Amino acid sequence: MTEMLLRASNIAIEIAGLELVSNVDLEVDRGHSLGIVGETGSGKSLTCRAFAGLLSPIGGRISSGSLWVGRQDATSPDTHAKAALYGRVVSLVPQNSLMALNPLMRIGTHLTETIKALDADSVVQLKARAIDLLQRVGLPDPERILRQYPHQLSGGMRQRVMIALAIAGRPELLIADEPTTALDVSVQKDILELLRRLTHEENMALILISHDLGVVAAATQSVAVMYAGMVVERGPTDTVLRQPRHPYTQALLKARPTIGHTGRLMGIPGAPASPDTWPSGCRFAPRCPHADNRCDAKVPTLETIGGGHVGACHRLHESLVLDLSKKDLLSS
Amino acid sequence: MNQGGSHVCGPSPQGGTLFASNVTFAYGSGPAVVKNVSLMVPEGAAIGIVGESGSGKTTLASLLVGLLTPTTGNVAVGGQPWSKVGRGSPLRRAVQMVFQNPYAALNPHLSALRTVAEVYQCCGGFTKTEASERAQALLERVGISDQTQGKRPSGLSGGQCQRVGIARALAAGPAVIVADEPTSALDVSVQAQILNLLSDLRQEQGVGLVLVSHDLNVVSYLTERAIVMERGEVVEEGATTELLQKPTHPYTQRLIASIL
Repeated sequence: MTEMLLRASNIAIEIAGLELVSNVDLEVDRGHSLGIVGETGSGKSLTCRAFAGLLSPIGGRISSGSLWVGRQDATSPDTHAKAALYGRVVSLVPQNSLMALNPLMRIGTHLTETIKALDADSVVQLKARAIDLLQRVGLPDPERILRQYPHQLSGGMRQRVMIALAIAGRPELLIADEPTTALDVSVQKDILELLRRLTHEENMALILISHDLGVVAAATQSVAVMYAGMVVERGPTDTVLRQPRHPYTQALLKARPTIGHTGRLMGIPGAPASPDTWPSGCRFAPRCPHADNRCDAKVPTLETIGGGHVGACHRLHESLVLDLSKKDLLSS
Repeated sequence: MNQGGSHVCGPSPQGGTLFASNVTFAYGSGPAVVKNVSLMVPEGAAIGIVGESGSGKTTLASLLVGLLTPTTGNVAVGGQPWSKVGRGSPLRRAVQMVFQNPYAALNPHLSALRTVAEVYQCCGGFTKTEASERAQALLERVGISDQTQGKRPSGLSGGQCQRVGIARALAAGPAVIVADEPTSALDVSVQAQILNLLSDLRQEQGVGLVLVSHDLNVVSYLTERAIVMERGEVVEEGATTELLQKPTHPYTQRLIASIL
């Protein structure tokens, strides 16, 4: 039987009185991988910060809805419970993590401090555990790397160190926020492979945030597409990316250049609305080629398409289907 | 349509607007990071430079625009090596650059309009009013509306900043634009707009393009020929379509196999 590790029901996130994320429903089971895609400002990172308990440092809070992580209510103010949750049950590899290591600290110190904070059992054999972690993330010659400073490592190696830090507390759910954005394509492939292997070996669940549909297609089983703070489409990755039903997902896919592509790329006209001027109806309506009167009047809710595939569009059941062949999309 | 001065250089004696011959470059006394690279950009052509981080793409781009001077070999623009092109020479304007980080490449104190108008004032010799009018028209062309033109970079999105960066390059009336990863900091939907814009501008204005990118999809969309660099050396070159569909060098094959 699958075990649910995270359940977000209808959560909204507020910063300084402004609602930036609305009505997000997401679930992740143990051993499962979920991708979250969307443009800059769509609320992907904020949603995941909420899952990792990292809203308060940026002045944010979950203003409504419920969030269960592991078996705990993550919206409860109990700080004790929270300390047991973050880093241990759920752990985050933050965006821009290549800049996240302290340039004055050796890799070994980063690891041992994290192990001391999170993993009481391993404190007696700190070094052994640190070496073990570096081996798990596939770094060669871990003894030498322990003595090195961040600037002595390449981008891909630093990303591996960040992942080692994130799994130091033996989390059940790992959240990786744009883990490959600053990396070369060949390194990107290795890091995604590492995440996939770790998820399997450590029996974790994985949430992978990316603006790159190729990354999500390669590394996740299900995907949620976010636009302007809301999930607009969700389902098995293969289905959503090959038979997208929401006009936004379709537009994202058509905007990608691929080798051998001829003709004009389809950009998405206009720019995403900002949170203080979100339309009262569908938030994508002003940029949507299929929008009609209903779209300006009412916010669409997620409706079932079938097979776990859901979408939030008033015209979901009309013939707006864009069928993409494997060649167009999954060139890998 | 031609927004600035006319194209200031025709084909060089070597047959290209921009020509690098056997260029080698090392930073200080370090190892060579660009080794014996030759590259010709014929008038109006689009050439891609691909490779991983550290392969020397950006250094080569800086050499092409004359920001760096080759240790050996030379880069010629309109037949003249950069070393012989004086500061005030019109050939200086013939090669313009568009940078990877659109925010960092713009002066934070200048509005979009001033950023572009200054180029017309200093390179085109226009009066302030004329320069503003031309800048307005050019910004409009690259998709920056009237209401947005008065904003500074902090008030613009990444895509808007990159449009301003492209307009600034165009205002000098270049024969070639060297774009170093122009869309890698942008979202895919915005990337599509910028790629379409670059493609349209090439057709309208006949500007040549050197596109540096680690994204082979982007290079395949915009360029006709490409070179693949590994550790400072060109390991493969040819027509982009052929190069990407039938790569012969193992390094190119590996890069292509990594595309998701």
